[in-house]
Amino acid sequence: MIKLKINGQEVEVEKGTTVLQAAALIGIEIPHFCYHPALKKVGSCRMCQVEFTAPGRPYVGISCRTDVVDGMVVETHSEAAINARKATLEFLLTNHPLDCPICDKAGECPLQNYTFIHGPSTSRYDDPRRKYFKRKHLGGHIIYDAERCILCTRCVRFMADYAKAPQLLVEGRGDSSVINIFADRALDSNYTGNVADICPVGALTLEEFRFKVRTWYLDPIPSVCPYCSRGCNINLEVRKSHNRLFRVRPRENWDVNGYFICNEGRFRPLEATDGKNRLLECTVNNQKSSYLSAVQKAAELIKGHDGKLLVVASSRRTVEELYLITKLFKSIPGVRLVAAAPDTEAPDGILRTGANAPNERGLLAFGYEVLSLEALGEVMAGKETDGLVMLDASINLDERMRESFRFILFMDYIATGVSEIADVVIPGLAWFEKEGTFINVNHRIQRIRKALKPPAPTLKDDLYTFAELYRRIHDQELPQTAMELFDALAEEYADFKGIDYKTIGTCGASLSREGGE
Amino acid sequence: MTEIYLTHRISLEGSEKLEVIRDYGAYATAEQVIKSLEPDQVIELVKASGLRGRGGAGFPTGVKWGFMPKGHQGPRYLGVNADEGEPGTCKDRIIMEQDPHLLIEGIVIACFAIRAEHAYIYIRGEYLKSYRVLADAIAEAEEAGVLGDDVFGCRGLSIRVHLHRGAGAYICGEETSLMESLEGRRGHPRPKPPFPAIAGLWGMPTAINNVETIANLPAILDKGVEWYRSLGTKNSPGNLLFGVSGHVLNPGVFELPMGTTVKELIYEHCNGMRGDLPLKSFCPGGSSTGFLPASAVDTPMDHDSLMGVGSMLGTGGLIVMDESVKIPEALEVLAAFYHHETCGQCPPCRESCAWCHVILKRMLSGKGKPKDLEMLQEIFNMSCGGKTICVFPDALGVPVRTALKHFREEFEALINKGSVKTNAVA
Repeated sequence: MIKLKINGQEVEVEKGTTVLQAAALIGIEIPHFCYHPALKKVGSCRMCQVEFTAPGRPYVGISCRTDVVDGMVVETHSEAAINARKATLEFLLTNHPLDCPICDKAGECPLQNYTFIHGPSTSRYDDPRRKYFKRKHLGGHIIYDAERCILCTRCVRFMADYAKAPQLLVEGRGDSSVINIFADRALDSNYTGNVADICPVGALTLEEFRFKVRTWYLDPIPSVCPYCSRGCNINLEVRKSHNRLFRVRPRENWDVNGYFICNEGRFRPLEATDGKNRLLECTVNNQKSSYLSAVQKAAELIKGHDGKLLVVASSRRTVEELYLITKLFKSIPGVRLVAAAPDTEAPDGILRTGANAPNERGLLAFGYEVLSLEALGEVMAGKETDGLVMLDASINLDERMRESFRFILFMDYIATGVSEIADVVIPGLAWFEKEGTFINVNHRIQRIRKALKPPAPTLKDDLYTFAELYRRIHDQELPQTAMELFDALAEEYADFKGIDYKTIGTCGASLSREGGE
Repeated sequence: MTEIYLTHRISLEGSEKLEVIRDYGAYATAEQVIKSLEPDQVIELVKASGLRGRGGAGFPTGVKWGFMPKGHQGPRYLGVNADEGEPGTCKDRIIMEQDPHLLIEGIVIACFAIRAEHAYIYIRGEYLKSYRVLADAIAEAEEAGVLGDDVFGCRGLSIRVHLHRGAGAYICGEETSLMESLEGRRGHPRPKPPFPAIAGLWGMPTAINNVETIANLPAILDKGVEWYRSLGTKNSPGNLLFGVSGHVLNPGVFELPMGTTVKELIYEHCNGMRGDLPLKSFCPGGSSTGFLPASAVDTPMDHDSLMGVGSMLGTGGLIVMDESVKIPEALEVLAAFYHHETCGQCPPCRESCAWCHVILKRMLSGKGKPKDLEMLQEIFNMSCGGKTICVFPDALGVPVRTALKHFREEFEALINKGSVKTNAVA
């Protein structure tokens, strides 16, 4: 361990810690642009300068690349340190366009924030500012503004080191340097969206986010990405007054995704929340129905089946829903509980696991029979079933399957070929409208949160619907909130012992099994 | 007559050919060193000689080598800095074009001393002739068994020299960006530490030395430390290749002992000023060493003396200016150069060079403001002296400060009257 003093405060840290990190440990934030904990250190932006008064003669130097040594004395707010940072900011601002009023980064911009805290309040530069291109499409959802760029090279290093797609470069020399793509070959990595997050100014912006909303109107709702079994932690950034999702950004979690997410997790939710193909009304025999009569009809059909009922759950459903589905159907004789295995692709070696559903582990925890899509198709085409309860909007039926069922119940939030022909349709909520948990590929249980209000007030939470059905079929009340249900299932299933919503928190909790992918 | 050992062979017809200079002692010293000394003994001798780097900073060569870790397993490298980009400097070129085997002999000695098998010569891209001559010389040396495996018949001793051409960036003469460029990346200086001696080329211990520095080695090891120290001054021993350009009658490269005065260089070796105009100013060691006034003409050209007058020996590239020169215009030329050449990774350097250039251009267009002079000083107070990864901003900061110190009235006239009067004949 190394002992040093920062602003008079003793701190003891491990060898190899940088001064910037050591300061952060005791709550002293040293401003920085080029430094990012996930990227190689270049030490070029000169924003993290502090004064080292011992050992040796006092000098001003950067803290992001300087390792701590015993007896080191660091002053972050000596006159020399303050002046050095002020100078860096004055230099950066000489040619910055200061178009904050129309810049998407304003409000969450490190350059803007540091200028308020550490910078000079006026500029002594009164010559014309450099003119550069302000909107170059780099591909991969990214638009580049060369005037705002401070050339910290975070984006270049991110693409090379993290995304393993070295597609960005610094082009030109000195103050005519810009960030660019090679020979106008568009960015094509699945991780490009992150460069807009790590850009410490408004130089790299997302096509999907540009000029849509000021950042200070956004509320980040912590959730989990449902598009593969990694379960990357995300924030759904919504404008509550508009009930609209504007942006998805990664939420730091070193047990899951570190600092980043892939483009699917970033952009697919924006499409998913656009309301297309949403089921908004209950139907019975293709006629609009009230919720209660649809539930009543569904309960009757389930109760009246002839002993062969196929229930298709889904790896997209929450742990709590899967628990309720199990509870609802398990004790009914002749029910076969199945689910389709998620569609798979090769893992990308970064974040994507290749299993494109959030909760396959949840299915396994409750003992569902998980079938391949082909196998499930065979089962559905077979003649040995009377009724079908379809709880997965990603599965479709073909003609011959339609003929193999006497009745079909459909419960999910997207219209499909199945919902079109179902005898009873009870639409539910999307993952961004409800509470619950998913278990990721590494047996980590994590919470999703309600970020948006459902598009129609008549829509009911699936948990409520399952509990209603349970009451009508089994004549018994069940809890209807995710939290209460989780407490109940944690009592019942050993996998979840000792875990409650509080332990899961915003970062998730490990189910303490033999891990591995 | 001064004793010369760097340019002693260049008057020979065909001095770039091994067959011509074999009889004049080429490679004799290297062979003797390798066969009779231990590598560490060579380092000690170079340390004792007081040889200082000829690339501009004047760091003691033996000390630099001594920083390389002793017990290191794995490759070590020698980098030969032949980028020669400092305006006013043209001395390494003489060695490379006219006595390339002197450089290669020095490389063999240096590689032996630091136990490097590979030497990389990073040569300025514009030096096409130097490149061709060196390439031929390397081939000759390989043919002669001076380079390659079993050098001079010593089993197991391999020394290879690789030529690498730069692509026209001043910054690649800075040793860490030279390494970056050599490794195939943008020539951006690396933060230090780690220093190249610890982690240089491909992360291995590396010594980067200037061409002229390396060319000093054969003479030092041949004639001895005492002889070497008898040349030049106490803290700046040896001869220096002075490249003189500008308003003199006989510009050129002159091999003279350190400590030769500017006056002697101009009036004896360069036959005095061109035309009738008197000396106005000079940059003693390349553009980045700043503008000194004519009154400093008696200054000896060595590290200590030039430090004493607020300048540096630099590369020894003396730029001579007569009274026809308007210092603000000359400074603007330098500012344009450094504005163009800053690599751009550190904002203080990138923006200070640009800012300075913008101000000077505006002043020269007749729109100078009284506060400009303060601002020019202030810009470099904010960017110089260790505020950036390398010392690039100082290379413009020194000319700005010295110009304002010695020729302030010209800038004031420019601001107040919109133009500068000189004593130039129209």
